[in-house]
Amino acid sequence: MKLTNEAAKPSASQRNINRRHLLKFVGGSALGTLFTPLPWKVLDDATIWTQNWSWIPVPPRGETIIRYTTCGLCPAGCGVRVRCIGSQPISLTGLPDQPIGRSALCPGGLVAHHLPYHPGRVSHPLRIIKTQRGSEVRQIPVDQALEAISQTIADVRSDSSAGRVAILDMLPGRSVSLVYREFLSKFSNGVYLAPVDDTQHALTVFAGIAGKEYSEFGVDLEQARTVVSFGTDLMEGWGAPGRVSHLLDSWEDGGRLIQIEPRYSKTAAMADSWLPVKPGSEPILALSLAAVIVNEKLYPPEVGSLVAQIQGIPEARTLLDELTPERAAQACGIDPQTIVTTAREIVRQTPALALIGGAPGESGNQRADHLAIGLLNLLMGAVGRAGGVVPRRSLPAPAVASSSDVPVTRLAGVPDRSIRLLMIDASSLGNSIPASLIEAKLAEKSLVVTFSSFQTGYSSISDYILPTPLYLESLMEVPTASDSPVASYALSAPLLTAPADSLTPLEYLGRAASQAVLDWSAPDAEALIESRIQAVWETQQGTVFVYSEETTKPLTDFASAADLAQALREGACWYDSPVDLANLKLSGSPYLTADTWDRLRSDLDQRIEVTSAPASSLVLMPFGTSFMATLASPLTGKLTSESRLYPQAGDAFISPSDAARLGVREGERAEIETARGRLPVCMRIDSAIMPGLICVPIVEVPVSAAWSDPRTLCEVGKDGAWRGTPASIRRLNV
Amino acid sequence: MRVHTHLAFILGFILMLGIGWWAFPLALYEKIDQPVQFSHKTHTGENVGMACEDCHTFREDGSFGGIPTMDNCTGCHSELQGTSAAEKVLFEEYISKNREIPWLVYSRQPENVYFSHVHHVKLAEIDCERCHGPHGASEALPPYERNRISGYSRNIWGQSISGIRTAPWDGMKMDDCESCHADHNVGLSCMGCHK
Repeated sequence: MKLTNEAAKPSASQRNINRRHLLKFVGGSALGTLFTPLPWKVLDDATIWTQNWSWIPVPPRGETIIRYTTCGLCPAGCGVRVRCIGSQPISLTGLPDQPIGRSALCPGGLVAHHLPYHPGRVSHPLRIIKTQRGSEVRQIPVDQALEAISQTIADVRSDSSAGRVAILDMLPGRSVSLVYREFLSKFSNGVYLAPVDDTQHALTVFAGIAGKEYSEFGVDLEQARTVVSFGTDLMEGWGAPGRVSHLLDSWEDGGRLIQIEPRYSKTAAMADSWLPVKPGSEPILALSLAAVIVNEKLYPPEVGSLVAQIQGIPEARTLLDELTPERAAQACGIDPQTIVTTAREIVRQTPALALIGGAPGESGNQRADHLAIGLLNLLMGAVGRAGGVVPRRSLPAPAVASSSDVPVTRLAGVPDRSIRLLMIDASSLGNSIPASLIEAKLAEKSLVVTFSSFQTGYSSISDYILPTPLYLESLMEVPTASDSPVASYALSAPLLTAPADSLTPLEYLGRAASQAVLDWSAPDAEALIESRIQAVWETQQGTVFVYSEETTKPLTDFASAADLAQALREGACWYDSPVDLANLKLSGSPYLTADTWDRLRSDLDQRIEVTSAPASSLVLMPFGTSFMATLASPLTGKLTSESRLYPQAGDAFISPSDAARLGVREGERAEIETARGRLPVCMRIDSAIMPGLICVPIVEVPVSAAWSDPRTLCEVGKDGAWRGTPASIRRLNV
Repeated sequence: MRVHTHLAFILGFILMLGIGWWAFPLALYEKIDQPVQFSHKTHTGENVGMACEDCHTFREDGSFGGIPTMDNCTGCHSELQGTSAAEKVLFEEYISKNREIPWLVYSRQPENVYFSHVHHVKLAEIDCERCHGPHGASEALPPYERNRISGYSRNIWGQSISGIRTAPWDGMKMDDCESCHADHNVGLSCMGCHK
C-alpha cells in the first residue's frame, strides 16, 4: 500500500489568504493591542486633551504676587493670603496665626475668587415678573428699577399712610449700615431691619448683669475648658471656621464639648458627648441642669450670693424645685441619670461655657431659651469671666453718620402688611430670613428691591434684583464677628474688577434718592471708611495683626490714622483690647425679678406639654448648613456636590426606623406636607436623625427655580420666628 | 489550514505588540529642539563652576524663579565668550535683540497643578536631581518631546511608555508625587496641589 500525504496538503484555495485568515489576523491584532499601552495611553491622553481645549480659560502665566485681604463672605472676617499671577487671584489661603478666628478658610472662602464666574451670578439689573405659572426674569436697564424706587419713595413721602420704607441689612455693623439708618430717618415711618443674631441675642440677657455700659458680648472660647452647646453648629458655620477646630486641637490635654441637639450633626460627631434632645426641649434641659447645680451646690463660690438671691424669689425656687431630672427627662428624652451626670460634669472642668444657636434666619429660639442657657452660664461662673461670656466695647462709629437715625428693628416688630418699599442689602449671602416671613410684612402694592450678587432666596419676593460687586470686587468693611470677645475691624480690598453694570447698594440708594428729589445724598463710601478708621485709631488701644508679617503690633505703633488705613487696605485686622474683667460687677440681673420667672415658667409649661406628649406625627426641622458649601466654585462644584459631604438642596433626612415604618426608600422622590404647604424632596435615610424628625437643610444660594426654602412650610410663632412643625411624607411613586 | 490561521492570529498579535510598544511612542511624541543649545555640564563644570541655584534662583519672597531669564545670560555673555555655534545663536538671536529665549520646559505641570519648589527644596531639603535627574550634568539639551494628543512633555509621563519608572526622577505624574509623599510619610490632600 502506497502511502501519500496528498489528503493532508492544503488545496490551492486553502493556501491563499482568505477571510478566515483576515479575521484571525484582526483578532490577534486586537488582542495584541490590549497588551500594549496604545489604547490606554490614547484614552488617558485624550482625556487630558479635553481638559485643554482652546476655549477653556486658563490662568495667566507670570510672576507670582502675594496680596492680603480679609474675607467678606460672612461676618467671621478671616484673613486671606491671595496668590496672584499679575492681577488675577489664583488661590486663596488662610492665615493660621490670626488671633481669635485662626483664619482656616471654609470651602466657600477657598474658592471665592471663582465666584465671579458662577453661573448664578447676577451681572445685570433684573426685573422679576410674577406670572400664573411662576415668575419670569427679564434683563432691564438700571434706570427702570431706580425710577420704580424713586416713584415709590415719592408716594410714601406724599402719603404716610401708603406704608413704610424699610431696609433689610443682612450685614449690619458696617458704616453703610449707619448710613441706611440715617437715610430712613428722612421718612416718618422708616424701618431699619437686621437679622436676629442668635449668638448676640442670647448673650444680651447679661446686659444688666455685667454692667450697663456694655451692649455687646462675645465668648472667650480660647480659655474655656468645657463647652455645652445647645444646638450651636460649632463645626458647620458658627463663628470663624478655624476657631472651634483650633479649640478642639488645643484640648488634647483635656477639655470637653457636649453637644445637645436632636440631630447627630457634624458638631455632635466631633463632640465628646451628644445628648439627643427632643426638638424644642433645650431650655427644659438647661433649666434642669441648672436645678441640679443649685440643689447640689455645685456652683462656684463667687456666684453664691447671686444664687441665694435667686432662691429668695419664690417663683424661681418653685420652678427649679419642680423641674426634677425625672420630669425633665420625660420632656427632653434624656434619662434622669444622664441629666444629673452632665450637670456634675460641666462644673467639674472649668472655665465652662454654654452656647445657644439654632438654624439661621429668625430661628426658633425664644427668650425662654436665652434665659435658660443664660442661667446655666451664671451658675457655671461663666459670665464676665475668662473662658466664658465676656462683655466687649462696640466698634467705634464713623463721625459722619448722624446719631439721630432710626433704631434697629426685628422683623417680628413690624406690623403685618405695612411695608410699601423694602430694599434688601444681601451683602451677606448666608443667614437669610425666610421669604415667607418677609412676605407677611409687605403691603398690598409693595415694591421689593434686592441688592445682591446672586439670586438668593429673596428672588421669590423681589420685583427687582440689582447687581452688586462681590467680595474681592469692591472695598468692603468687615466689622466685629458676632462671637468675638473683642471688637475688631478689617477691610476687604478689591482685587478683581466688578461687572460694568454693578453698583454698591449705597450708590443705588443715592441715585434713587436723587431721582426722588429727596433731601439726602449718599456719602462717599471711602470717606465713611476713612472716618471709621480715624475713630478706631483715636481709641489708641488694642492691637493690629498684620497679615503679610503674621505679627501683632500695638495700635500705638501706627503714627496716624492714614498709616492704619494703609495697613488695613494692605491686609490687617484691628482688635480692641479686652475689657478688664476684674472690676466687672455682677448686678441687676434679670433673674432677680419674679416677672422673669413667671414668664419662664409659662413658656416651659407650654413646651413640656408639647414635648411630653406621645409623638403622633413627624416634625419638620429645617437645619442650617454651612452656606459657604453651597457657594461651591463652578470649577470644583462637581466634586463638592458628588462627594455629598454637605447636604444638598432638596434633600430630606429621616431615621431608618421611620423609613421602614413609612416604606420610604433611599433616594425616593416624595413631598413633605404641612399645614402651610408642600415641598418636593429627595428622601435620604440617615441614622444620624432621631426617629420622629424630618430634617431638611436650609441651602442659601444660589437658588434654582425649583428650590424652595423648607422654612416656608413651618409655623410662625408670635415672635415672628419659625418653628419645628408637624409634617407628613407623601411618596410620589406609590 | 489550522496552522496557517493560527499563524495569522499570532502575526497580528506580534505585529500590534511591536506597534504598541515601539512605533506608538515614536508616533505619539513630537521631538522639538530647544531654541538654543545649552550645556549644563560646561556651566556647572570646573571651568565655570556654577551651581543650580545660580540660575534657577529663589526670589527674596521665597518663591522659585524657575527657568532663568536673559538677565542671567547677559551677565557673562554680553560679549561672545567663545566660538561655539550655540553661543552664536544665543548672542545673535536673543542677547543682541534683547529677546527672552522661549525655552520649552520639560517639567511643566498641567494648569491645574500647583507645585511649590520652596516647600520641596528648602523645607524638605530634596535635591534637584531627585525630580530632574542628572540634568545639571548634561552636555546638551535633549529634544523636547511633546505629546501630540495631550500637549504635555514626555518627562511628565516618563520615558517608558509603560509608565513604569526606570529611575526615581523618571516621571512627574500624580502617582509619582503620591508615592514619594507616602514614602516620606507626608500628608496628601487634594487642595495641596490642586488649589
